[in-house]
Amino acid sequence: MRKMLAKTLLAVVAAGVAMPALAAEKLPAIALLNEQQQDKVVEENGLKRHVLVTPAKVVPGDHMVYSLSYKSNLSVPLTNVELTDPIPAGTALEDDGTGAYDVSVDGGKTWGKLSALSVSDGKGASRAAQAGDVTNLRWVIPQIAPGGSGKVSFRAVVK
Amino acid sequence: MKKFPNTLMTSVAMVAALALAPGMAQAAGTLAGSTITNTASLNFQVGGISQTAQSASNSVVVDRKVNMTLVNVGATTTVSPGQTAAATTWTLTNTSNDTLDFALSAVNQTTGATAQHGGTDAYDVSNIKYYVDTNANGVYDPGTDTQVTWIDELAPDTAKTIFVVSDTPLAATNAQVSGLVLTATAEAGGAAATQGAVLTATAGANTAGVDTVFADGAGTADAANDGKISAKGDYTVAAAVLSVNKYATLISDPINGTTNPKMIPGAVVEYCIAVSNAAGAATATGLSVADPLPATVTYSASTVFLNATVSGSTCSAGTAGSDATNYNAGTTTVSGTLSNVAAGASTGLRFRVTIN
Repeated sequence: MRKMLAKTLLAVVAAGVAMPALAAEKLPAIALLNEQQQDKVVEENGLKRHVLVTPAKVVPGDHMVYSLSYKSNLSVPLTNVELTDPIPAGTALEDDGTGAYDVSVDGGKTWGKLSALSVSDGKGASRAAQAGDVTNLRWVIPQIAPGGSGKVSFRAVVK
Repeated sequence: MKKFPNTLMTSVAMVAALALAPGMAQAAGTLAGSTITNTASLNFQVGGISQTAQSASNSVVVDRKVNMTLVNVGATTTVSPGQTAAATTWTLTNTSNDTLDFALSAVNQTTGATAQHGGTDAYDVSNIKYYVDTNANGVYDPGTDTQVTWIDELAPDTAKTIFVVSDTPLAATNAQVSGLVLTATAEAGGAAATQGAVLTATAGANTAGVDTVFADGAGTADAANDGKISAKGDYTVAAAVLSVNKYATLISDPINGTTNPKMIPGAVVEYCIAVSNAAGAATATGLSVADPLPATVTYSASTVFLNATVSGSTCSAGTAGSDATNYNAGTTTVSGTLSNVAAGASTGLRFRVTIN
């Protein structure tokens, strides 16, 4: 397994440390960090429990947890924030996060809660969409206060 | 719309196929070495003006998950004592996410072990060879199917039919069972016609390359997650179990005729050579019997009947033979070939002689 960590946030942080005097607007307005972890089941004393670990030996059937963290660097509010994430190719969404995010089953053309969407059943009719049908995720955040931050996550299984 | 019905049908079919694709189940899954990349984008506005979107991504390379199944196909292979090149059939399916080679090794079960189909191993086969089902008809075709020593480049989610071919010793007897255990061991694929090295699970920490994770189940003679899969198969001997009896029935004598005849010179005796095949045995074919007559009796011309009905110690009916074929005056031998005798059935050859 080769891991390529997102450099986006690291670069932002480095810039912020090296040049503290710079005006805030020279920084990226908002930092976005994309983290991936692997949900492993470990057994201790006959009890099974889930632990989130740095991805290692990822094979089909493994469960991944993707976390997206954001932090505003601005002194003014950010509005109409829309965080989108196509389901990584080679994985399938496991659940709809109990409605925490909007999903798309058509590549991001239309959005809605999973329970409200349907897909073709391949026989000319349609059926209710399932988590595995989801192609894209979207979090709509009306406003991020100055310096505000947040974190969202979703679970996907390696196909 | 009445035009182009074929075109319409085709496009409907294509739509259906496309619609199915995202939900299709793939047993083997994402191929080893594939990179899974997650990219998130963030769009936002400041003061009502859309700003440059931020994005962040990360990737993970999928490792090799070794998994496969091996099943013995069909019923036990029925063999005759001494039969050579009898095939047992197996299906090896690669459910790994990588193309693999597989080493093959079939060994005899120990005597007394329980064989695949419930029998008890009683003899060993020899001269074990492996063939792949080249023409994919599921049946071992000598001369057509290719002999191999390992399975080359089995792609993910594909299966190969493997024949384990061996010889049964002549000493094997009816209903005896010989059990085999076939083991397939995962080896690195990637080079056609070259047997890869046996795979080992990557020990310890994750490495930068494609690691190997064993996910195979336990087989007959192997543990789970060991990169091997094994399964039993067996042969069962079907031999004819023949018994031959010769019965004599006094027909007449020159003094009493057919009423209470006595065994005196000149008396007519009918011999019945009865051939029986035991229940559960294989059908006996190519039967021939011969009976050299003692000097004390003389063959009665035109009295040979073949395939006679045997009831207890008497023969009746049957097909009339011919003296030219069935009696050799020089050796005073009565002989004949009999029809096949199924398990539990019997047949006979009958003829008459006169006591000298």
